[in-house]
Amino acid sequence: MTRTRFWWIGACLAALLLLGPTSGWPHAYLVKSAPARRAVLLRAPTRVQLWFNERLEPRFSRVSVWDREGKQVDSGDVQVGPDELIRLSVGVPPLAPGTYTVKFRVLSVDGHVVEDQFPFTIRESQ
Amino acid sequence: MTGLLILIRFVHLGALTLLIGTFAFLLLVGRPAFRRAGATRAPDLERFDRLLLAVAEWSLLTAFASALAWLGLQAAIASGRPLGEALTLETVGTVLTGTNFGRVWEVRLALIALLAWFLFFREHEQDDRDWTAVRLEGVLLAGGLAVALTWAGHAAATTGRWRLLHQGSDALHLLAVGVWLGGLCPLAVLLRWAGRSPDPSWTAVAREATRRFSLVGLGSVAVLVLTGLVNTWTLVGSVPRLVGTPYGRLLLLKLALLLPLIGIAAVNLLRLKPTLLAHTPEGGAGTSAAIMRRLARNVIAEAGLGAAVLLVVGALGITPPALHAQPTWPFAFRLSWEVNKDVPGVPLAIGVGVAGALLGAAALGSAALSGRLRPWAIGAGLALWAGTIPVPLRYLAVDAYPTTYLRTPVPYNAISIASGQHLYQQNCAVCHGAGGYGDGPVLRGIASTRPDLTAPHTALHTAGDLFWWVTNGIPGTQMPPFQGHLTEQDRWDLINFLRALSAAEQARTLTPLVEPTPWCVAPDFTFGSGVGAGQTLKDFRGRAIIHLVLFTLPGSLPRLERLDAAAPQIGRWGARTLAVPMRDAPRIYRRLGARAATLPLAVEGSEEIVETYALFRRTLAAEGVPPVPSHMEFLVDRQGYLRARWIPGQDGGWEDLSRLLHEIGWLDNEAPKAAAPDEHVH
Ligand SMILES: [Cu+2]
Repeated sequence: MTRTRFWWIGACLAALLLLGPTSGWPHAYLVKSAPARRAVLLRAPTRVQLWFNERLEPRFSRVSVWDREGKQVDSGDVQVGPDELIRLSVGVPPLAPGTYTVKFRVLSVDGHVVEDQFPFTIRESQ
Repeated sequence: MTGLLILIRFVHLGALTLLIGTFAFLLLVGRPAFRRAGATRAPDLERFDRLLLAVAEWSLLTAFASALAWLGLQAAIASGRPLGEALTLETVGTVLTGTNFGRVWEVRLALIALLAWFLFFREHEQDDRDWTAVRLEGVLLAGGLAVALTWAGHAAATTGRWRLLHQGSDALHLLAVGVWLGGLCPLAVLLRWAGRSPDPSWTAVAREATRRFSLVGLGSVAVLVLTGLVNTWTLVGSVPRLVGTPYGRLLLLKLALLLPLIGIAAVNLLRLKPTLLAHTPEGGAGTSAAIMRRLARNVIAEAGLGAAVLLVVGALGITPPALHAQPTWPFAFRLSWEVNKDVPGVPLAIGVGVAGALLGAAALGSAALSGRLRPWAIGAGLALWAGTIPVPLRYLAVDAYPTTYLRTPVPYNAISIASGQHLYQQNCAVCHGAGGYGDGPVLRGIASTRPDLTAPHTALHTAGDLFWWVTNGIPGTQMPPFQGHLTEQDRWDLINFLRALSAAEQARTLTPLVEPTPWCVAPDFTFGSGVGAGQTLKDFRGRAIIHLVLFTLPGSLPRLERLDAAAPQIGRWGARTLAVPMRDAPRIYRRLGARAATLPLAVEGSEEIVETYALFRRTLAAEGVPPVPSHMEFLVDRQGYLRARWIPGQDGGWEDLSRLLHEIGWLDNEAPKAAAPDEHVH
């Protein structure tokens, strides 16, 4: 009885190890964004989008947009994906010209947290 | 919270190590040793077996408790809330069911439960095979627990084809640690029991156990060294990162603890084991007992050092791998073959150093191999080393600074380069000249060195060296420190601009004919065209050749219309045209109207793109810095390098579209090469 049990366990463990999850770098970093870090835009964006180098945990990844006075201006509909799990985005209402700050805090699938922020500017239209 | 996490990781790793070690020891060392000593010792084997299983049970409980604590801490880390607030059913539940870490933990908790069931509700073992099966299950499940740990940490730190190698070596590393370090405690117990017992057959057991464990230990250390090298290579990768990052320094600390550990093991193996084996069990039981007690003491010391190593490992696991950290160079010099290879006398100095090092090693080696202490040989070896090794080092040394090996944390892109250009004109041009040739009004009258900033960036200085000089100034010269005046980001922008400036000076050789060897990295940029937001030049790497067109209306209009019409032909070679307005970007759509309507336009971000690529207007024909042309075209290959340039009026130009198509076709036919270097730091 003990012996057959042993073989079962061995086989299950081997399967488990072969099918083990795969992950990328030890922690996420921002690959690119729209608007770009420090961009000066002619037209206001409708959504702020961030692309990372590895998949994010949707339950613990956040992004927000703040104006000069420190008031949060995004519409709060933070979304990971849905097409690609490396993209985090949030909608913004039509923004007036000025400088805004994008703040993000993401948990990537390896369990590490990355936090950062960057500005972008919307130019006065001539 | 960091300290707590290190502590919990340490406890958990220690429990896993003991768990693997006790089962493996019973199977590989304990029982065979008792068997060899004869059936008379069976009661002792049972007693030993019972003790080790009790250790395993406690280790399992510890592993369980520390796994739960770890899960709670992860909930706090993931949610970013203090521990007290994060320990709610909701947050911990979300981590457990909704994240990758949680899923790995589900598997591991299940393994712990399974192992607990086998250990605490053991059936009566009817024969040897049952006995073996239970302990093998223990090794397998405990090993599975360790291996699954590599799924939730730094382990999978590599992508692509190296991932399997790295994950596999990480798993093997943990298993070898378990078998060796975890086996030390059972070995110590066995040796102590044997040392205390007057029964001579205990000596036989101890001998056999020592002999077998030394084999197991040798194998494990070999595995540890090999897999450790693989891990170091994949997570550290260079000397500056080894000595200059917290991760690298922890790794060095771990090595510093491992060396005495291996030293003690070597003494046991080379000195005590042969003496123990040489004694017959009948005669001299007293000396055997003394040796066994010494062995046991050494083994306990090894286990203590091993525990310290595990503590360092606990800290390593939560430190960002050196590959992703910025190194602080701790020395005032660095060694560079590149810089010094043409200096006379260097080959000779290196020859002297290598010869001396080899001779010294030979002297030390002969002293070690002879088995006896030979002070004169050791002295001669050390003297040879001290006398010769510094010779080449002095010749190869170059000044270095703490920032020497920093990688540019601000990407080499148009926004940074354009910002750097503005900063340069405000702060640097007055001395270094508007064009960077060192001919600014302030330095013009001074006879001292006027650095030509457009000179190629050689091995002589790194971006980190430049950062140090801009930050702290250069003593004894006119160069002032900009630390209080410019932010860190500003200073890196300046360095990105200088890199582009120097590249542009070298790129005077660019012509409408494709340059056969790629070397000039095309500065990246983000652009918003009518359709896609947030596209970057880099997105096209490996996918398309980019035909970049900087244009001015109305002069460029006929050209744009021809390019628009030729888009299908250009696309046939896997290339795309991207047009960037040099002026009046906000109104460009209105001004173009329906003309050249299908040509992709980079409107958002065009200002910085133009400022950056206008740097690349220097040609061999024109002396110094010519005025900005109203139209320029570039070809960027699939690896991200600038390969050809046409400014209207240049010979062999692309007025004739077939010439442009010919060059694109040439690039398209090229065998794929390595992508342009990518600097990422965070
Ligand atoms: Cu990284």
